[in-house]
Amino acid sequence: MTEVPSESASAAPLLSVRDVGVTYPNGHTALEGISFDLFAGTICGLIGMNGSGKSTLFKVIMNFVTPTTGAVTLGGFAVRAALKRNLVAYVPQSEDVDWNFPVLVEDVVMMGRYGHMNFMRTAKRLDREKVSEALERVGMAALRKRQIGELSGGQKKRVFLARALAQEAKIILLDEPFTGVDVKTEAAITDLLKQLRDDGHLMVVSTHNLGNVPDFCDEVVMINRRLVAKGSVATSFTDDNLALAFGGLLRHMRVSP
Amino acid sequence: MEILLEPFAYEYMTRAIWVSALVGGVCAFLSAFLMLKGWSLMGDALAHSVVPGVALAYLLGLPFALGAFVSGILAALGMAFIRIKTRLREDAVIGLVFTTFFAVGLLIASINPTAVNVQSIVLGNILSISSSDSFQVVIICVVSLAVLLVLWKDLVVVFFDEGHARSLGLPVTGLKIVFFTLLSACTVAALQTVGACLVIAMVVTPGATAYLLSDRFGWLVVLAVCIGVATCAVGAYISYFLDGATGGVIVMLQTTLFLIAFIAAPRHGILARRRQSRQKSRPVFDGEGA
Repeated sequence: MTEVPSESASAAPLLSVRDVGVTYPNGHTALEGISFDLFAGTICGLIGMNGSGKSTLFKVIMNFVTPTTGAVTLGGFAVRAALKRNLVAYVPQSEDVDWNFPVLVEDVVMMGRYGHMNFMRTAKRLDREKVSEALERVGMAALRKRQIGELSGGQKKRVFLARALAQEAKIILLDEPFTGVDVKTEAAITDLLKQLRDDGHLMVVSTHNLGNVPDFCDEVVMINRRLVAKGSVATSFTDDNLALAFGGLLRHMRVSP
Repeated sequence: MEILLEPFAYEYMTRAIWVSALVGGVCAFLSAFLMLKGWSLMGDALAHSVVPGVALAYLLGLPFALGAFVSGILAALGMAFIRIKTRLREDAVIGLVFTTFFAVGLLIASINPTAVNVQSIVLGNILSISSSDSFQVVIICVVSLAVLLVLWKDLVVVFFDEGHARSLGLPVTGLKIVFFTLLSACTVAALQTVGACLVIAMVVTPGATAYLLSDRFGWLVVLAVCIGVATCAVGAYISYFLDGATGGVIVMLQTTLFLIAFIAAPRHGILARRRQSRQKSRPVFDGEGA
């Protein structure tokens, strides 16, 4: 467990989920009584199988779905107010992106700055600097004039990470960032996430790729409609909890202690 | 030479030319968005859905834009409602709703042939548009253009990555409503120019053509708008010599430009594609030969 040194934010949780439940209009209950707190300077794995409510929880944090019960606060603000303050960045799943969309790499990263701009979204020098900085940091500066569809799987991921950096959000949500990327890219992404953690960001990484969770996560939140477990990787990422989260579907898998 | 300048001697022709150009420009702006989402047929659906409103408005002597607007909104709400409440796919819902509206419109028009001219609704009548009608068209276009110029970047984010739009705190649903409101307003304007059947071309073809020519949304919009303005102005002009059929001429011009781009676009045309694949395959072939 890493503790954030001398951050006053470490006293109050950056992300606080209180008794959140979501029942969709068609009667399907996606989440029930979820409560947990996460602090700055943490990488947290959000673990559960498909349909466990991971994406619904993301949607609640992004104000896409209003919880039927309970509430989420981000840095002490209600969700809507927190979004206005650029507290949250979102890195989408690769398959949710239209890679034929006519945007260049730098255009995507510039979108991260929109929350800092006036209503016409005119880029100032600071915005352009932040974009260049973010592109440098993920090693994509040379490819900034490419259309996004021309990139490799790992490069595509890094563009969206750069956008999150340019947005300067304290909380970064990553939706299945390891789907369809090679081992080298995976390592590059986790390295970057660790750097961001050391800068005091909170990252919530939704994943069903369990193999590398102990390598880069500090904490895990495991859900299966309800909260199964929450805590440090050492204490909570256990066979018993995995069995609960995946309903015994992972019997063949063993997590080395 | 004198023959070529002849159309400009008539006020109705000059008006038809610049009103068409304005409509074409705004529709082209919208087309840049529409085709990116696979929503192109929404434009067609809206154009047909506004017909009962237009017919009813003429019947009651109200501004046609008002009637069109109400019936367009009703159709959009109807589609959204059926989609949420059933498990029908979007294309089925659109097909169901717009044909119903169109049928009601034709029925109203055919019962009252004196008040409502079916032909002008279906085929457009920009050459004989009344000044009050053209005033409405101009208002619609100018307001839509102003809204688009302010909001286009936000709309791009919503269209490209809704998740990111939400993380910025943008009112995603509100922006979508604004977009579809603009779209229905502009299809009404285009209805006057090219008629209900060809509106779809106005809100698809310029964007589709520009998409083949640019990888950057800002440029895509500029190109699409230029194409829209030019084809509509020239189309209205040429139709003077061909006696009517403005809509047909405009759409044929747009299709011609699309075909040119399709074949000869510098990167995404079929000639360029063929060149690229030949360049890619050559080193492999050489390697095998060596």
